Amino acid sequence: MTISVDKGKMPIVDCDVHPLIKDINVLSPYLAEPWREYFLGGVRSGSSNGFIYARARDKYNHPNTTYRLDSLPDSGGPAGSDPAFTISNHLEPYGITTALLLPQEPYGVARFGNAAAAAAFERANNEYLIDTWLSYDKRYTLAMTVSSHDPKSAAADIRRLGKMPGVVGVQLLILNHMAGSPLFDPIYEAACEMELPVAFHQNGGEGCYTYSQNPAGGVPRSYGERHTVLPQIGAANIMDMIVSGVFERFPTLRIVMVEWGFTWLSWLMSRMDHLWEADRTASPWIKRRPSEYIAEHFTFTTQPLDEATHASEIAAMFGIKNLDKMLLFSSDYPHYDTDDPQLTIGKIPNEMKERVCFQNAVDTFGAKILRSLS
Amino acid sequence: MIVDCARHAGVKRHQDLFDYMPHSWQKHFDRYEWTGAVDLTSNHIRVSSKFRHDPIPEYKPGAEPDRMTLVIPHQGLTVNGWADRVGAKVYLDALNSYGEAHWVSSSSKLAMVVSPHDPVWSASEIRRRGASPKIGGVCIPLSTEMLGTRHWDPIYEACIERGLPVVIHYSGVEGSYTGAPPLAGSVHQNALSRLILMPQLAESNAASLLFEGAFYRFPKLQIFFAGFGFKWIPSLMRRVDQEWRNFRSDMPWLLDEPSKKVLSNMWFSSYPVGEAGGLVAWEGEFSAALRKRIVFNSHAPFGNDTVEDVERVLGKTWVDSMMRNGRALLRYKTGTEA
Amino acid sequence: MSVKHTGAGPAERPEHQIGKLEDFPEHKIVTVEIEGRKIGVVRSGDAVHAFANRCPHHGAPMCAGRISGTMFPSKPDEYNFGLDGLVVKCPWHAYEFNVETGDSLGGIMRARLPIYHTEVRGNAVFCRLTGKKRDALVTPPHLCPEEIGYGPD
Repeated sequence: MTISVDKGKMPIVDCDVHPLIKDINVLSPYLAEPWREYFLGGVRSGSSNGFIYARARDKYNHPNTTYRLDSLPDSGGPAGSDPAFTISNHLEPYGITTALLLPQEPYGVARFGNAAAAAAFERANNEYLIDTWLSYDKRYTLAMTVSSHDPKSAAADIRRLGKMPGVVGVQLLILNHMAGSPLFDPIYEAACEMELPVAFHQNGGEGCYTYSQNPAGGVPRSYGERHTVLPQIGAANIMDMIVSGVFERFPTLRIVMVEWGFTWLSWLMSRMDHLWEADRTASPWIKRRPSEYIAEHFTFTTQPLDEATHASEIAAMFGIKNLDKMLLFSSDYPHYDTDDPQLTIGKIPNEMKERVCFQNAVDTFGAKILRSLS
Repeated sequence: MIVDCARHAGVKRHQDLFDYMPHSWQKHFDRYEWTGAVDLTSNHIRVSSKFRHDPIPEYKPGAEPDRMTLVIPHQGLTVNGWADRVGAKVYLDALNSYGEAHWVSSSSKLAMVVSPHDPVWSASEIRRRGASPKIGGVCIPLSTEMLGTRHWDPIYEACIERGLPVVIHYSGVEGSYTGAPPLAGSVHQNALSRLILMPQLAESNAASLLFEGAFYRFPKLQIFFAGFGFKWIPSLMRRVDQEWRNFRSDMPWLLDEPSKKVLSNMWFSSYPVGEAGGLVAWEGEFSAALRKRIVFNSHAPFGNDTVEDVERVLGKTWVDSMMRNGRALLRYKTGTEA
Repeated sequence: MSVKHTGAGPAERPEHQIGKLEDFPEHKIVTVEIEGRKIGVVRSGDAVHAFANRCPHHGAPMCAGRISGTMFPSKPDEYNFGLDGLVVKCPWHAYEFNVETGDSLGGIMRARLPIYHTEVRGNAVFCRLTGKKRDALVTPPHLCPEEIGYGPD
């Protein structure tokens, strides 16, 4: 679907904006017992916000803050917890037409062993954001969060909430199973039925626990070293989905890879193609060139954009095959490693700008991604 | 002259190593499950799910006098999945001795394999064997201890003393055997998945070397990542520099962009060159300085890239560059161009 | 923060009195507006420093940043803290800049954070929107790699 645009009024879809909740007690109406008591009773009711980290901060601790210091709302609460402030601090200044909300609180369930608790928390978070953020301003859209603790329960939630106005995708938390595992099939089936793309974003727990996914090799020493190799996990899950034949089972499934980078795609696509060509019996579920699956089913966000300086390097980065149809603009507001939207858009080659700023988002999420324009 | 910086050789029978072991250790290893496992040990490097493989042709050193070859005893790399770390040293000692006796010629040198579990023993082995012109490099099987940590210092010191590059090549049990390093993600369901992801082991260990300041501790250390290809390097270089800029104060021993140490202290190999097609699209990411760090390797007898393959995919300029680079990499031992 | 314009020389930007010394606490950025421009001001001892409200990296508002010190370039696994109170960290990527010179710490980028001429006379603090002269640096000499023990290979 192509949406024509007035010159000078190009829509911008920001495919990575993180909302938080100010105070976990706001989830109370959305939690049935025993989960209300589980999450809000006892010690937890004393916390000023609902923030539950997945990253083990006594294993990997950020040297500064994970959020931009200028993104703390005037009304209090953590960065990203005020829908009005996010508009004045981010959407308005940069002319963002749509912010795809990828809820951050639910990442904490990556640490949960209790599947029912995880599902209850995500359900409450989804419903709260639908009621508050999505109804606050049509520039907000939501990738509702589910995890793979209980795929059938996750599928039921997708079917129940997937048609709510403003819900445009599913944020699926990657736990210890690779994304190509048949474990995820109920979730992929529901997502396809509801015509919702599935977004994968780091949950923070990567490399922290015996039950989380990890980068290759061993244990990175510092936050920065870990951050360098984190994209490997994104690449590995893309590979696994293709090798496992997910797209043969779900030919309409679309995947959005958020905040994994994209410049390593050149290596991944060519290596997968070459090794598959060398021995097509190695995986019976791959029916055609792996890079074709990537081009048809995957999109990638711009942030964090590699800071290349040489023109030939920048040209090679943006010249990755089919990237013009795969790249989605993103800012990662309000995180510390945000890319300034104007700077990013300025770096995108002119011939790709419209596609990256909004057209690829429309192709991925449907026209409803631009609901604020209707 | 063709310079093949990584090809492989192995024993056909584990019993072939017995002459190089103390008598009682021969008797220890002489059990049918271990001697019968030579096929497993020999084929891990293929990273294949197949049950049957073509027989591995025997390596005949000196059969190609027109090329300079660095030979990796690939079976030794698999000690990174061994449980018996003491026995592993006896095995490696025997394999290295066998290799010196059978795989070295005027046109081939051995990349001796050391124990990742015992750096002090390994360092003494490097000093003992490394004095010989038969040795052209030192293979460290990958372990869960990342290459940037001080665990490896005794080995690095010894390598520098002997003028030998460190050679890193996957054994094939990574991501599969317990104790060996994991691959990215979690459990992978088949060998194709693991083979695709092997280069990320090099990526992670390169990042570790850079961020731990290993090349400030050892400015002369040369690390050769063999068998991992090279297309992934530019993306990594940009990412390490970006993280350094964000977190310099957290790693203040990095005095400059970490990617610069890639250009002065790391080497990479061409295999499998077939994944480097479409040169025009990606060549712009490779500076002249980075191209100087990429050498040719055949990965023979597994896969077996030829110089003609490289020329077909990359062109003659790259071939010539790789041969020059290969001579530069291997000269640390000879002190002269190979 | 009220600002009093105190006149200017013919070829210079005008000097403004931006407050009294006690108006500027140590380790804290005070935002001041001069000639319609927001700048960040921080005191260190009896000196006051002023810098632009725009990070040269991505344009983040430096007035929302933090004042701290930094870790000097060092030998592996060593930390040597210094320049306490003289480093402004960008509120986004935490790039560090020396408030006295505008240079990035550790040479992470060539572009400098613009800094402005400030002067303390008596108890009054003055600022002029002109670049400050790069006087003798307070940065200790042992930032040089040779001092740390590294030399050519």
